[in-house]
Amino acid sequence: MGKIIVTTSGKGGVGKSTSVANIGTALAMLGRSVVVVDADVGLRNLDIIMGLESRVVYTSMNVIDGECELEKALVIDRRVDNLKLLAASQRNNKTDIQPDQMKEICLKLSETHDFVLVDSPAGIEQGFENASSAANSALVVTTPEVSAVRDADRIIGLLQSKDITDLQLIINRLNPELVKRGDMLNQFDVLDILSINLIGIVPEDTDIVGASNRGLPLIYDGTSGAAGAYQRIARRLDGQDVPIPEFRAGSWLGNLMGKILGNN
Amino acid sequence: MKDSARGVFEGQAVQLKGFRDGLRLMVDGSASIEEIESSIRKRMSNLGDSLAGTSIVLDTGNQHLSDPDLERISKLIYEAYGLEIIPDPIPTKTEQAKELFSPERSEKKQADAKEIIDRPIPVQEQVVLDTKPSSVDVQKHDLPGREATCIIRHSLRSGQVERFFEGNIVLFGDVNPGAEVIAGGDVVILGRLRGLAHAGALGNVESVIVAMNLTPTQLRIGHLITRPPKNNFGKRKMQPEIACIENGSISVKTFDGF
Repeated sequence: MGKIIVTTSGKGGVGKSTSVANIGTALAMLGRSVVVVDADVGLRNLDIIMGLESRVVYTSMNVIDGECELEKALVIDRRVDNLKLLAASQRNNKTDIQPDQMKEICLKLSETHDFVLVDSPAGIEQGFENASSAANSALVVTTPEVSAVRDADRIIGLLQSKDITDLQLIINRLNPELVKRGDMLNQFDVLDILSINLIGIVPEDTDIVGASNRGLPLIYDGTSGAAGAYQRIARRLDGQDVPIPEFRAGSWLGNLMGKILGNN
Repeated sequence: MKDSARGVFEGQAVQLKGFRDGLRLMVDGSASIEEIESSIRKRMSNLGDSLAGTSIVLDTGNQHLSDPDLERISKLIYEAYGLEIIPDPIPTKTEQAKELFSPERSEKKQADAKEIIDRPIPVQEQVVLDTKPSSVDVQKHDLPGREATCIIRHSLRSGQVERFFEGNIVLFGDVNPGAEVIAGGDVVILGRLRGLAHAGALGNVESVIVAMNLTPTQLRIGHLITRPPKNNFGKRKMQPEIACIENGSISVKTFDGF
């Protein structure tokens, strides 16, 4: 049985879909079989970010309505082996799917794939309920700002009350310049409140915007800071022990040490 | 029964008590429905939104209210104060008395039982401020000098609420921003208080809030509310502080023991 991981945040726009697209692709590049599932019915965008929008024929709604087999609805990404997408319907909304139905789909997918990455919509309502129904672990995405952390704390509380105890935090869009100026929370401020395991920090990277619009996940461009971070996160998810580099203002590369002794 | 009941209720038709994490509304069934409603409004005013979503038990003693009256009270309580009436989890004194009153029992036991019904409910002394009246008592524990206290052995995350109107709350952990701790008595946080704490939530102005690191979004004691000074969020060290009402407002001081 593969791992079913829900990527959620509470707050919108912090990088859930971007994280799912990049981490999913990175895992496939490591040789794992991956299916990414868009659970944002009515406001789907995982297919756009992955550049597969024009190839979506059937969605999870069609599968649930019995109009097509699950296998047929999976869009195969041709850029890398073993990566598939199950898109969400754009014409329906979240109340058209029940948690049980999503759970059945995810469990079925986990029988034939190493990783099922479910992209949850923002919020704590039915969309989140649907997305987390089958998950046995979660990636919580937050940005280092007060409102995002507040929402992440709420969502962690909800995940824990569902007995999803394998929780990993991604701090996204960290900007060392702003941290240095005191305008942005640092990772310790965030972890102080959220108190779950940190699986990775993704630095602010202006290349993300272009990648998103072109449907070419940044992971394919090895040079960008965010791409490197997503690579490392994928490797950690895959069980490898990879240290989190230090992000210093002015230099993106770093070593592990200083951070604990340093800034705080 | 009626006279002593009125005496117990201090001339009011209802009495409100903290009961576990909810409330207990003791109703003098001999009063008219209008008196009951007006008394409810009096007791509930000034209690603020810390009560929203709380459960409440209706205790009419050995009187029975008619169904329409019960309906009216339930409606008032729910619509005006957001409280939901739940069944009484413990047998009332009346039911206990009923068992004892069975014909098989001896007369002496009947006399004992009667004494149970007539024994007045203990009333706690209140400090009276010249602002708004406090209207509710924290239930005294059966042992003298002891108070009902609830220990919570985990941190609270944003959106989580813990209530214990019956007495005090001690929490082993942090209270994150967006989380709430609401007690009829004192609130003691053995960790960081970053969210909201309400001590003396039923009107007790003598209650205090203690935390190892006091950086709340808001503090409430009794019917008073206060917010922290602007630069409060810089505090990272564990520096125990205590909040209490002094001279009509909430003041915060360093805490190094009682």
